[in-house]
Amino acid sequence: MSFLDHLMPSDEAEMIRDSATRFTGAVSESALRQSDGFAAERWAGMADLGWHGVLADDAAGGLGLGAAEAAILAYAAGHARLPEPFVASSVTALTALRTAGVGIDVLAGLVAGSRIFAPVGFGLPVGLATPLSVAPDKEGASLSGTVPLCEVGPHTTDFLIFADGPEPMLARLPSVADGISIAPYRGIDGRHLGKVHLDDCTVGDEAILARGAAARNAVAKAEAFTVAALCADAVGTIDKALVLTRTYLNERQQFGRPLASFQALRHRFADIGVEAELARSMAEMASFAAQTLADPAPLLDRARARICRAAQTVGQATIQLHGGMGMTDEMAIGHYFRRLICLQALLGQEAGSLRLRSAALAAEIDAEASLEAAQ
Amino acid sequence: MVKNLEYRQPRDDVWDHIDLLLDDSLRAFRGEVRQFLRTAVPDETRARLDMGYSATKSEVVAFLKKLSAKGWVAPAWPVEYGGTGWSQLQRFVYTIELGNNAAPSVPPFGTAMVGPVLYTFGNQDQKDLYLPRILSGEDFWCQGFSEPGSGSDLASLKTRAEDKGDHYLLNGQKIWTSKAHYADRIFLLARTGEGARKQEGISFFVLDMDTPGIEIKPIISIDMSHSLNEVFFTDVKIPKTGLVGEAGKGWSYAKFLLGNERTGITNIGRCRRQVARLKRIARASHVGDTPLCADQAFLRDLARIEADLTALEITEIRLLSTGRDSAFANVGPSVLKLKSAEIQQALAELMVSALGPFAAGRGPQFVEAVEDVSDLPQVFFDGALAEYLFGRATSIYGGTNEIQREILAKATLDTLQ
Ligand SMILES: Cc1cc2nc3c(=O)[nH]c(=O)nc-3n(C[C@H](O)[C@H](O)[C@H](O)COP(=O)(O)OP(=O)(O)OC[C@H]3O[C@@H](n4cnc5c(N)ncnc54)[C@H](O)[C@@H]3O)c2cc1C
Repeated sequence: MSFLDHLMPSDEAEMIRDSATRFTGAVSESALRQSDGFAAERWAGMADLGWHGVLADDAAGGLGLGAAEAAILAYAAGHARLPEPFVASSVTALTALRTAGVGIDVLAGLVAGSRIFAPVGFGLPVGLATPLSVAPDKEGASLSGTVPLCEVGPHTTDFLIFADGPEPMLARLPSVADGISIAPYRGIDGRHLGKVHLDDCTVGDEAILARGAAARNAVAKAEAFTVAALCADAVGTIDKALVLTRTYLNERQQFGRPLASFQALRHRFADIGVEAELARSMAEMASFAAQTLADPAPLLDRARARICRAAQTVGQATIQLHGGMGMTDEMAIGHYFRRLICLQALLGQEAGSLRLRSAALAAEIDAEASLEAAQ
Repeated sequence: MVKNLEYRQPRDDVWDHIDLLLDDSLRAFRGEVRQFLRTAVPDETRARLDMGYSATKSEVVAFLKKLSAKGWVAPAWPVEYGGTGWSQLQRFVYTIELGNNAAPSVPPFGTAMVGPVLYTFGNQDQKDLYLPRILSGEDFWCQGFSEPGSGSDLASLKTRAEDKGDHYLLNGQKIWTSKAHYADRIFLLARTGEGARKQEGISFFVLDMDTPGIEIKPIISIDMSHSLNEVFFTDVKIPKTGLVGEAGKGWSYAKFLLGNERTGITNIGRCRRQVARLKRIARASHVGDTPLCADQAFLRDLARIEADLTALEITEIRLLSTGRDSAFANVGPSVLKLKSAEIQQALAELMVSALGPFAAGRGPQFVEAVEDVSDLPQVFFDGALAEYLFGRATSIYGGTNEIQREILAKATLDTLQ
């Protein structure tokens, strides 16, 4: 499939978009606030619509689709600011599991919504090396280290852990296991997060899903799909922040006129609209790159950098344009702003993305120099 | 002094995300364009343009001859008028290659501005007379829209063409008329009547520049070059054949023209070449003892612009590919115009800052004086500043950035409730 084909959504993709829009459209502001970071019935509703299996094969009960369709759902989740770990479990963990070639039994639970995976040591936040190390053990392996940020909560049923060492590995452990401790906390946008500490945590051979290059490959693929999904989530969040701001500017009157009639505000709104379009372009490119390229990192780093910038610019401007109301917890706009902050952290921040791109540029400059010197 | 820093053509074996768009036939097409440009643009011209200078008229004429022989002067025109019949994607690739290969820019006044107006609204005689001469490179055109009192508010223009029965009598003044001193012909807006709204009563004319009563005065721009002019009309007779379309409908033709103008100016190819140039400068230039290519601040700036440029490219591709969201078709051109101006200006700024102290001087004497004390070959001096200075205009012409924001706000803040 070419990038142009990718830009033309299939009928199936349009159906998914419609059904997602209908589903999230029914989520009320009060329901969101009451759900305290996770609503079991919402998670089950997503399962009914096929969200958790969007990337899983038919045999596991999934839809067998790709990063583009996962991005449509992540966009909807962002637009409605759903706090549930859709990306973490249904995109990041599922992609790693699938790439590692795990059995249908493992995937089927995730797809059905009864198992919720928390990736540990890979995927989220993007672009960090795993802080977990692996040592050989008579029963299999022993894992140690601390991961400061994981999308883990009371709903988590399984950990999917990536640890590095002479032989890196991807292992699955139940959420309650010897040698694992969790310090739970909340994301700025209300999602469940936690610090996960592994202290000589023993994993038996049966829990090890992939080793060596296979494990690395599974994690790399998962990370690429994660970037694509988070980018789409951010664009959904940005779009909703723009909708709320447009409404506010047209309704609120000062000096006897709607705010939307003041040029300084009109131009600021135009500028954040431009940011949104650039972010949308990058999200389109990211899902295509994640799906089709063997080494999508150079493009995904650019996408992360650009989308983090857009998230920051749009978030700040939409608060400013709401005036004092933008500072209140009561207004939804602040909640979207906070989601954008959280998403930037999960995406590794603009600075982190640019750092990687800068290093790659330095290497490209070197390579060109030696190439030309050799000629 | 570091060697091997001169301009190099893009390589076919280096993968790039534009390749995402290409199938085998498009890749072959790009190869053909590159092959053609390798010989169609003399090395000297290429080197000068890559330094940041603009092409001389003779360089443009020579290049147009080569393009004309290929039939590639105005690819976007309908085939019946001499277009190539290429797909949008082929045109996209072609335009990128022109900029990326440091070819002289094809003057937009004939191909992108008046040409489409003539084949869309002109009569048969006008099409037969003017279009072939644009395609052959024989006729250079200039654009007489702006006036001293009418810039962003173009419809307030005052230049008047009075209907004298067998001709129109033109009096008034235009300003910022790019390349008028090179031009054989001018297309212009003038008032032929009054209406309830200022947009009414404006007509669109074409006129030979050697018609008696036309006077051109140069305006030297901040880069100390001459491309801008004032053009004065005193009792100039426009033959009736010079009226395009209907009298009084000129404003709608002008809007059609400006819409075309706005989409053709992203200059992605040139931006890509500038990124490549910055990388070469970074190999040779130093900040204190640190080579620029190890300077985190420089690399960060470059990485940020590169990400912006990629986003611009994808945005242009989205606009080309029909289908997805038609709402975007309205705002897309303004998004591209705003953002491409910003990126071009950011690149020029980074270029100048990369030159360090050597950004301050100008001209052959300066180049000679510092040649032996600079890390950089002289090819990088001088032109960068010219490019930076003239580049300030990218956010002014073709509808200023503020006017683009007005267009965007109208489309996204006012109407879509
Ligand atoms: C290098 C160059 C080449 C050009 N070539 C040509 C040419 O070949 N032919 C031709 O006809 N014209 C040409 N132009 C003219 C160009 O189209 C005008 O400069 C442009 O339309 C702006 O008009 P102005 O210069 O009168 O600025 P003004 O309209 O006076 O604007 C001055 C400033 O005020 C801002 N402004 C104006 N109105 C508003 C508003 N309503 N709200 C907010 N801000 C506003 C503008 O954005 C700008 O920043 C050229 C200009 C340049 C710089």
